[in-house]
Order: sequence, then C-alpha cells, then structure tokens
Amino acid sequence: MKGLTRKEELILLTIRALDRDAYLVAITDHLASAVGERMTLPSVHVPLTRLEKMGYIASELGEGSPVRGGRRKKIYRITKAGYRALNEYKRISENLWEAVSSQTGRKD
Amino acid sequence: MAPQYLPPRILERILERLTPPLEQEPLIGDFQETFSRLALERGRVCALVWYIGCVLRLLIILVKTTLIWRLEMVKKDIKMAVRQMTKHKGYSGINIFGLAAGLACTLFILLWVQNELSFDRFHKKARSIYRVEQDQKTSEGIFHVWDVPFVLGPALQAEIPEIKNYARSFRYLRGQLVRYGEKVFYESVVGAVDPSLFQIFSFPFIQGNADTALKQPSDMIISETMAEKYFGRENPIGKTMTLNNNYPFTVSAVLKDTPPNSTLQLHIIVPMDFLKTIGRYHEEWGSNSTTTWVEVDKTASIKAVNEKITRLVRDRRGKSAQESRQEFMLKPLLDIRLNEIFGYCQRLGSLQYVRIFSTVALFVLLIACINFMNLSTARAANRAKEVGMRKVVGASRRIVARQFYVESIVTTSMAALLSVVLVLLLLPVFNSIAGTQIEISRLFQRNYFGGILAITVGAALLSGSYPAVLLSSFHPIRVLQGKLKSGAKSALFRKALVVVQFSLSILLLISASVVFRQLNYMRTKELGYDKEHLVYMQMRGETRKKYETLKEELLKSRYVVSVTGSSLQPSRLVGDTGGGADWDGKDPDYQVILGVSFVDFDYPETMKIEMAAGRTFSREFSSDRGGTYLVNEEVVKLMGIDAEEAVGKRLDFVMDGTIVGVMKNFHLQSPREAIEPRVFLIDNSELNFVVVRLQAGNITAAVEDVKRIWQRVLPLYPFEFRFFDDDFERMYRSDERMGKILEVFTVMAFLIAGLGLFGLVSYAAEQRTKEIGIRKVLGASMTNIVTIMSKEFILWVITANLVAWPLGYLVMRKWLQGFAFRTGIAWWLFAAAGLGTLAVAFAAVGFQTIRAARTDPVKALKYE
Repeated sequence: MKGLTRKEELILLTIRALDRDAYLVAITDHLASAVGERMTLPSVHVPLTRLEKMGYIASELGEGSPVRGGRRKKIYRITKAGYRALNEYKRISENLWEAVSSQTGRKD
Repeated sequence: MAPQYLPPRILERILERLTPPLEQEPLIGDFQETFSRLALERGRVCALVWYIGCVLRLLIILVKTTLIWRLEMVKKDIKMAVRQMTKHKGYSGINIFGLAAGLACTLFILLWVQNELSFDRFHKKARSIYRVEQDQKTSEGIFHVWDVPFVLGPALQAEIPEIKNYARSFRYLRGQLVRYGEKVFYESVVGAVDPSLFQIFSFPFIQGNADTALKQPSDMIISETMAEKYFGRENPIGKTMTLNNNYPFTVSAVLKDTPPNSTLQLHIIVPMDFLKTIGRYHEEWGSNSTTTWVEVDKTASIKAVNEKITRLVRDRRGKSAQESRQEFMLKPLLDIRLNEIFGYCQRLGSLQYVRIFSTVALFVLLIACINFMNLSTARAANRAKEVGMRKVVGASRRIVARQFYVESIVTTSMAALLSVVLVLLLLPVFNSIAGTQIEISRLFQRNYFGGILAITVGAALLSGSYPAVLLSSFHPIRVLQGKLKSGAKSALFRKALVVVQFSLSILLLISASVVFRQLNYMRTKELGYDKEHLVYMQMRGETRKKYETLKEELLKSRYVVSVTGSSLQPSRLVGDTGGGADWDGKDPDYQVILGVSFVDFDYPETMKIEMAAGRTFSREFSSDRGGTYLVNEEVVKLMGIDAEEAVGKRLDFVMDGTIVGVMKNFHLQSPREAIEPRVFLIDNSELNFVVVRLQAGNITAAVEDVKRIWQRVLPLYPFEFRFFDDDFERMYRSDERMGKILEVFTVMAFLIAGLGLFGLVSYAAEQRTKEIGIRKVLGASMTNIVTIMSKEFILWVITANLVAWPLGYLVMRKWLQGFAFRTGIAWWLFAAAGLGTLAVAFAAVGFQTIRAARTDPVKALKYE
C-alpha cells in the first residue's frame, strides 16, 4: 500500500461518501462542510490526480449542464484498491484509538 | 432554472491555457460552475474577484515551474559566455573595446543628429508655422532671401484666408546701449517683434504672459539670463530699462531662456513699433527688411498660398514689380534648420552633415560588428570540438546557436555599458568640438535610451548570427574526428568582411583628408586683402558725427598705419544688394544684382587690396566724394569687359557716376559663398564702422593707444573693437567643426578596424605555431616567415583600397560642389590613403608575425 497524505485520505473518503456524483466541485463542497474550511479547486485537483495515478480512484466523463457552460464533468469513482486502502487506514486509526481509550480508562 | 453567469471570455481563455489539455474541459467547467454559484450567492463582483484570483494563482505557479527553469538555462549560457570571455581575455578585450568604441561613436553621432532634428519642435504649433521667403530672379540666377517687406505681414492676414496669423521679427538691432540704473552694456541681441509672435510660437514665460506682454509700445520682454544680468535678484517686472539713453521701456515679462535648439533666439524684445521710432521701419513694398512668420491653416495648400502671396505683392508693387521678378514661398519652420537656403543656392542647412554623419555612424558601427564576426568565426575551429561534444551529449542545433547568441549579447551589452560610460565622460569634449549644447540628460530620454537598446540588440544579433549559424551547423562526428579545418567558405567570407571593413575605413580616410584639405585651402587661400593687424570699431549714435575727428586723431598715433570707414561690417561684406543697375552699352533685358558699400578714402590702401586697373579714390578729385565708383572684378565680369576698359565707364546704380578703378577680387564672405559683384563709393554720412590698420609689432600697445584716442574723442561711448582674424575664424568655424568631427571618427574607424585585424592576425599566428616551427627547423629565416604570414593580410588591404578609391572620388566630388571655392581631389590623396592603411595593417600584422617568427621552434613544436 502506497502512503496517502491526510488530505488524500479525506478526499478518498469523500468520493466514497458521494458515491455516484463525485466531481471536483461536489468534492470540494463536501469537504468544506465536513472540515469547515474551504479549499481551492486546484488544491483539491492536485491530490485527485495523484490518487488517480496511484490507482485508488478512476474517472470518466459525465454529462454537462448549462451552469457549467455545457462542459462535461469528470466524475471520480473509488476503485477496489481504494476501498482496501480506506479500510486499512480505518483499521489502523481504530487500533490506535483503542489503545488511547484503554489507557485513559486506566488512568481515570 | 438558475440564471446563468459567465466569467469574462478573456479570463477563461487564459485559464484554458493554464490547464492541462487532457483535463481542460471538466476543469474549466468546474471553475465556471463555482463562478456562477458564487455570482448567484454573493454577487457578480465577488465571483469575478474569485475567478481572477484563481487565474493569477495559476499563473504564478506556471512561472515558478517553467520560466524559472528556462531562466536557469539562460543563466548557464551566460555563465559559459563569461567563462569563455575570461579564458580568452585578449580576444574579448578587443571585441568589447572595439564594439564599445564603435557604439560610442554611433551614440555621439545620433545625439548630434537628434539635436539637429529636434530644432524648433518644441513649439506647439510648429507644424503650421512658416517663414515667408522669396526668390529674386536675376540674370545671374535665382537669389533667395528670407527678408520681406514690413507691410507684407498685415496684408497677408487681411487678404489670404488660409493665413491665420502673422508675426514679424526684426533681426537683432546691433550695438544698442542698454541701461538699467548703474548697469550699462552694449547689447547686440535686441530684437523687435510683433506681440502675435508669442501666440504663434510657444516660448515659455516665467513672469508675465503671452497675451499682454507687448501690448504697450513701451513694453519690453527680457530673457532669464538678461534679467539676471541687469537685475540680479530684484524682480524685473515694472522696472524701466533705457535703450541708447533715449528710449525708456518697462519690463513686462520675463521669458525662460530660449533652448539652444531654437532658430529664434530671444534675449531682449521690444515691440515692432520701436523701429518706427528709430526710423528703421519702411512702408515701401520694394524694401525687404524683416522676417515674417505666418501660421497657416492645416488644411491649406501651401502651393496655392505661395501663388497668392506672389500675386498680392505684384499687385501692390504695380509697375516696379516688373523689374525684379519676385516669387514668394512659405518655408516650414521645421525645415529651416536642415534646409536653409540663402543667396544663389547656398545651402546653410545642416541636412548635408546630418546625412554624412549618419552614414559615418553606420560605417563605424558596421566596422565594429565585423570585428566581432571575424574574431568569432576565426575561433570557430577551436570551438568546433566544444560544439561537437555538446551535440554528442544531446544539444540540439538550436541550443548551440542560443549559446552563441547569448555570448554575443553578453559581449555587446558590456560594450554598450562601456560605450554609455564613454559617452558620459566625453560628452563635454564632443560638445566643445561640435559647438553644440547637448545635455547629458538627453542620453536618458525614453526614446533615445530605447534607441541605444535597439542598436545594442541589433549589433548583437547582427554580429552574433553568423557565428551562431556557422558554428551550430558543425557535424559532431566529423568535428570530433578532427577533420574540420576552418572551412574555405568561412575563410573567404572572413576575407570579404575584412575587405569591406577596410574599404569603409579608407573611404572615411579619403573623405576626411579631402575635407581637411578643403578647409585648409579655404583658410590659406589668397584673400585679396591682409587680415593681420586689422581692427574695426562700430560707430553708434553720436560717434558717427565725430568720424572725421576720430580719423584725424588716430592717424597721429605712431601705432596706426591707416584709417578708413565702411557702411557694412567690414569683415563680412554681405547684404545691401539691389537690382536696377545700368551702364553704357548694357542690354536692357540683362538683370543684375550688385552690392554696394559706402567707404571712406584710403579703403583699398587700408585693407591692402590691390588694384587691377585705374586709380583708387583720391582727395585730389572733388568728384570722388560720391561721384565715382571703385568696383571689384566681379562687376567688370558682369559687364562683360576688361578691367582696363571698365575704367572711365558710366555706371548708374546708387547714383549716376563713373568707374575710376577696379580692385582685384578680395574675399570677405563665408567660404561657401562666391564673391559678390560690389561697388564702392565714398559717403561719410553712411559710415558705420571705422577700420584701422595697426603697425605690426606691439599689438597690445597699439590697441591701448587706439583706445586712449577713442576715449578722448568720444568720452561717453565705451571702446569696443574687433580683430578681422577673429571674425575670419568665426566664419569658418562651422565647417571646421564638421571637419574635426569627421577626423575624430575616421581615426576611430581606423583604430577599430586595425584592432580587428590585430585580433585576426594574432589568432592566425597562434593557429600556425606548428607550421612556423617546422618552417624554422627547415631553415626559414625570420623575413621569410613574416612575409608568408603577412602576405595574405596585406593583399586584403590592397583590395580594399581598390574598392574604396573610386567610391571616395565620387562622394568627395559631390561634396566639393557645395563650395564656391574649392580644391581639386589630388591623386596623391588616394596614394596616401593607401599607404596609410598599409601602415596600419603592417602595424597590426607585423607585431604579431614577428613575435610568431621569433618563437623558439622547439617550444613551438613541443606545445601539444
């Protein structure tokens, strides 16, 4: 498993949450509401490119809409490798949290 | 559906450029979607700001990622260039110094040319201002003057609708006694003008204004310098200045000093009406005595206006106009400096010199650029291996070429910098040689600085392109095998360039020496009178009445040889010309213009003018007091008879009289002017100048003595005198200056060309070290080697001579035609130019070849 940054992990998670409608603007919006801070489009786009390159996500061109000037969306979808990686990250952090809570429990 | 907002098209275009082409469509779409949502939620402005922010940020990223890397490459190129230069200090020195000298010459010349071209352009209406000039047709040809009748100006404005305004300006009233309180000076710069002059021209005022400055007949305008001179720190406005102790004026305005590049120079200005007061104003249509400026409607046809003026004057003059056929024309103000014409087609304008010097500038620059090209290509063989290596490790031809371009740009920039420093340092010297007042700040004016940049880049490209193209074309394998000798083709090209270089230098040398000879000829030619120990004083006001007494007293002095008088400035007999002369046996259709001078007895004797026939004026003949003429040989020539025959002839010009003597021609004009036909007669009431011939020897004491006598006879008038030689110098100064400039630049051209040759030869010597070594081992003498080495170079120089001679001959013949008095072009000038160039070539070649020939052959052969 290739290493992911925190940002990439969050984006991957967002794509998974958005399911079928994960394109750049939607991802950015979702992240903004979850994190509470808005990122710029390019700063989201760069990790997306990297994730795609590493094979965690795949993309295809969707439909256009008038609000986009008729331009098509690039819709991202999570791959099997992506799922595995997310689960792996989740497991790691749960393990770590468990250790934390048992420790605090003992202390209290 | 939500209303649609579109970002500006331009920004979108930029964004398109900045996004990767594969993902362009969805990305731009994403940006637009966000844009329209922001516009909807927070307003269009906010959305726009956001969009611009995005574009800018992307731009910055692009610059960071790509341009910086490119710059890094250029930085590498520059570093390589600097290394090359420091490695071959000699060549780079020659290159940079040669180019810098060439550029400096060019910059100087451009500064001068620009100064000439900038004349009078500062007037806001400059393009619609004209001077009224006229051609007077005589049998001798067309005589051109720019003086017209006083009454013409008002008539023009009244009757020709195209002429919007007019202003007359009277040339300086010489020798006015100007007084303010205790301060009294003679001023020869008092001018009389119409107030409208300040509406037509835009001379800036410091105090007062153009509309009211000359309203009252007693108003006076002075320049800043004059204000300083008379008033110091006082405020001059409202103060009274007196002219000639008689006419009080009130200073109503102060003008900023007229810039040096102005045709009209204003110092002390009084209203035109003052001329009426002193009787210098003439109402007649036949009297041409003032300059008239007009402002012409922009849409008017100048030709039509010219015809209207000519017709107007013809109508006004009526019958008398038939005699001297006049034709009037408007001369554009902006044309005056470059194309001024006076008299029988004398070109006083500087256009000729502007052309000559521009060509010279081009030549010098070309010579310097050729140096660069030659040295770079000559070194090609040395650098061929470098190019080969670069290509082998993957440099494309373009990259190799860029390397050479960068090298030439680095060299030329250094040269440009050096040349600017040189120009800054030498500008005062140049100004004093050229008689200009170019300020240093001119160099840094936007358009001029742009010019420097353009020339530098141009020179860099010109001189860099040949080596770049040639060297980058080397085939790496052949080069690395060592098969490349500096090809025959490039050697031929180099030879051709050296020939061009030397041809140009020789052309300059021939031109400069012809100019020098012409100047020398003008200086030393037989003047027909003796200018040494000759002084003159101007008589003003009351002094005229004391002329007889003054002469008597002066003649008593042991320092004074003789004394006479003259109506015209005695050192420059120009003006007071007129038509309508008649003599016995004259063809009635024959129109001539004669000059007239009123003189006193002893005129030819004092001036030491020889007589060709007849006698001089003599007190023994009472008729000589205004009844007889002395004429110069030109008059006799006009009459078509011998000098002997002329004596005793009747001549009706100023008055009906007899010619009693013919003086041999004497030259009291500028060198370009021919000697005018001129008659002399005695009239002591017309004299304005006293001419005194002093005893040779102690001139200072002599002048002191004359001064003492003057002060005794005329205690109220300051003593001012002039030497004839000084005036003579002055007349020749402008041509002398041009000659000096040409000389300097010729020397520079030679220096640069010689430097280039020196570089080439030293390179060749280095290349042939081995060959020379072997020759020496086999027994060649030093002479042999020097001959072998220099033969080729000398041959080039000889070829260059053959090219330059006919060119030089043609060019200089054309130039000399501008002079009424000229030398021929002697054959030996060409021979001398040839020898001169050979000498330069030998100096450049000899040093290096001898050094090469003297090296120890063992060392030479061991060096690899």
